Amino acid sequence: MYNIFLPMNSGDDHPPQRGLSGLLIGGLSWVILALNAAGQLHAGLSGLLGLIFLFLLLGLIGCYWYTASVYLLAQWMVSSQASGVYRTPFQPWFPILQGLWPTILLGPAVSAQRWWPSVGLLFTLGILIGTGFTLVLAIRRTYTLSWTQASLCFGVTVMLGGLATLGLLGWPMMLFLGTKNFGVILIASQ
Amino acid sequence: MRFDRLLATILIIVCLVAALGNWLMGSSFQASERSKASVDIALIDVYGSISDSAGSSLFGGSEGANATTLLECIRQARQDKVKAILLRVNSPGGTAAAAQSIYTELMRARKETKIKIVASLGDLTASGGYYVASAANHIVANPSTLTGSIGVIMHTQNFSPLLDKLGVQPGTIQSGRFKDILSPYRSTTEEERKILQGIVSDSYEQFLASIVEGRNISLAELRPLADGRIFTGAQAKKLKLVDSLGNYRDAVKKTAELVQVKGEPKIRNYTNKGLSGSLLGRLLPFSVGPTLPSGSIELTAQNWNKVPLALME
Repeated sequence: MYNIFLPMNSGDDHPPQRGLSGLLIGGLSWVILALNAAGQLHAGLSGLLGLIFLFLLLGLIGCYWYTASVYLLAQWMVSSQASGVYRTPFQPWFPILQGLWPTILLGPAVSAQRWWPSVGLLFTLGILIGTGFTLVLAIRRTYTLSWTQASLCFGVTVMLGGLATLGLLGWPMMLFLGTKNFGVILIASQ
Repeated sequence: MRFDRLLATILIIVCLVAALGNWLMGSSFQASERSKASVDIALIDVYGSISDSAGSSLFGGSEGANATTLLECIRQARQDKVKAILLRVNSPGGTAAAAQSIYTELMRARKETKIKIVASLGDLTASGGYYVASAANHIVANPSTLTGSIGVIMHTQNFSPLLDKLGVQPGTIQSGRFKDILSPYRSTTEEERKILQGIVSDSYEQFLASIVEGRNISLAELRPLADGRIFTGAQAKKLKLVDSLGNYRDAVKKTAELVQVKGEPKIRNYTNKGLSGSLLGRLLPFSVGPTLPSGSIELTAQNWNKVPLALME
């Protein structure tokens, strides 16, 4: 089944088609996640629309940074000629987006949690592990890496993403708190 | 279509339907919980010019207090069996009929149910805004709130001297001699003036009668105050147009006291619904007013001239 979502002959063949399918899978998975989240938050129609907008926006931003990290790591792990030459803008995005396809299954998994909590939970866990696997597979195929290299690439990317978020939030906070601007809070709170 | 592609399409549809079901079940849970949760006070905002329009825009961009929406809010509060309605009024007034319809609905709730109504006046609660507030059992105003302006106004315009200068001769084809009453292309005749004065006076008397009914004040006491003048909250308190001085928190406290709720009352804002109150609405606050240049705001204000009878200046 995953060959439909994650074609075997990946690389730079028919990039527009791959881009379209990647965007479709990414968009679909974010919409399904937004629907699930709206259900958890008991949101109405307006809340759902807000969540879809937010998830699509965050999904695209996240995809941009993860793709950049994966690309740089893959370049570093293999020689530049082996890492492939991209003919289309955003082409490195496609495998990452396509690798998200198991998250589509989170729709039925969350439904299952309502009736059979333990089964639903196992199903959800399986899907999350499966998503990790498909993402590693996508990286492996796109950059022609070994399983170890691709797993390392994925793991380091996730770790770097977390650290980068922490750093990006931490630095402005440190600068704000460590300079005279801190006085603004005191004045405002008076 | 290849079998595996067909299978993938079916899988996607199933997943989408399941996710949709997750959302629908979650939102229906919210609706049932909302109906179960008891609310002590229904907060209803009457902000901006009061008028009767069809509804708000996609992003909740409705300007001012819409009478239709407010009537719906009052009806919903009654259905939810709230103990009190707290009106938060900050309005320069509006059209006579719109203000009257909100007043009537509030008075109906006051008479037919045990619901207590309290009005908290903001920066400005004049004319039509005060009309609506007068339906309350208790009015709380800030000492510097501007209120009063009890009266009815109708504007007329005569562009004929200007049109003469431009060489424009307007023509009118009408079925009756008063059909073009308030025409801006000629001066108002004495007979028309009498008709219009009659309408203004009648509307004014209705306004006074409503205040007398809603407030503990006699017509003899009210009439000298109802010449269109404005008062501060402190002055209005002395003249019995408001009951106590204080801010919104004081109004909440007074409401809780009236309905004998101990501790912090449960308040739900009934006007903050739809997309404007939603996440998207908050992400995309869409109000035309602040984005308009000052000239356009004047143009918007001039649209009031299309409504002949207004309770605002």
